[in-house]
Amino acid sequence: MFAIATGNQGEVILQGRFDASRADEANKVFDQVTTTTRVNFGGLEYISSAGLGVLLKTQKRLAGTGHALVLYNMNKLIRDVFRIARFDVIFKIEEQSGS
Amino acid sequence: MKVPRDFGSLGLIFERLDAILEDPRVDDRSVFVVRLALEEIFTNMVKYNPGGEATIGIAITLGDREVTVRLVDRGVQPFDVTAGPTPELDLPMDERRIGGLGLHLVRTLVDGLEYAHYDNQTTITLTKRLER
Repeated sequence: MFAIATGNQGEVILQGRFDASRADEANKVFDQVTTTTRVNFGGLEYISSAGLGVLLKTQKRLAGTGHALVLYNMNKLIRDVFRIARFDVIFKIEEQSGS
Repeated sequence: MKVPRDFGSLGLIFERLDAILEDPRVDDRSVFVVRLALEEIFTNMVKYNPGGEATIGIAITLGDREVTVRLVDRGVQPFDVTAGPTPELDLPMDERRIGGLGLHLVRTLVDGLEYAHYDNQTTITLTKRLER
């Protein structure tokens, strides 16, 4: 199960499992992102390199206009994946979001 | 199980994997690692061996102390997943590429990764020790 949606504060909300078969669906949403945007990982239990690819592509594009994705509420396993891929230096990753 | 050489097979693969790994002996980290490694190896086969046979064989075994997954890809050229360079991880963002990242994650996270190639057939076996 995977779901990607935009919340009412403009944040992108990811849920379920972000695997290679979901990349096209995710790209459709992330392609609409044009400014600095928060991404809520709270409901996401899994991500693979395909998902990392969608995020990297978006981050590179946003950097062109001085914007970025801000990732928050990652679980420990996904946090480990980001660390192993050294994506924790590419993305701003916040721990528990204030809300 | 034999699945079509297609990203769409991931649903079926995960369904089977979930059923086997639902066992209380399997910790959350092992579930995550096995799912990730299986997906990365399988999607590599789909991406880089499009001319192979129509199906890819996958066998998942839950042992006393470890989970083992074996993938068999027929009608393909050799590509040793255990060899090959680590992708450049320390480049600045605009130079980072996604290529090789999946295998890097697999090699880092699994406990065993074996590759064999014979007679146009590649067999990849990955092992994850259960944690407690």
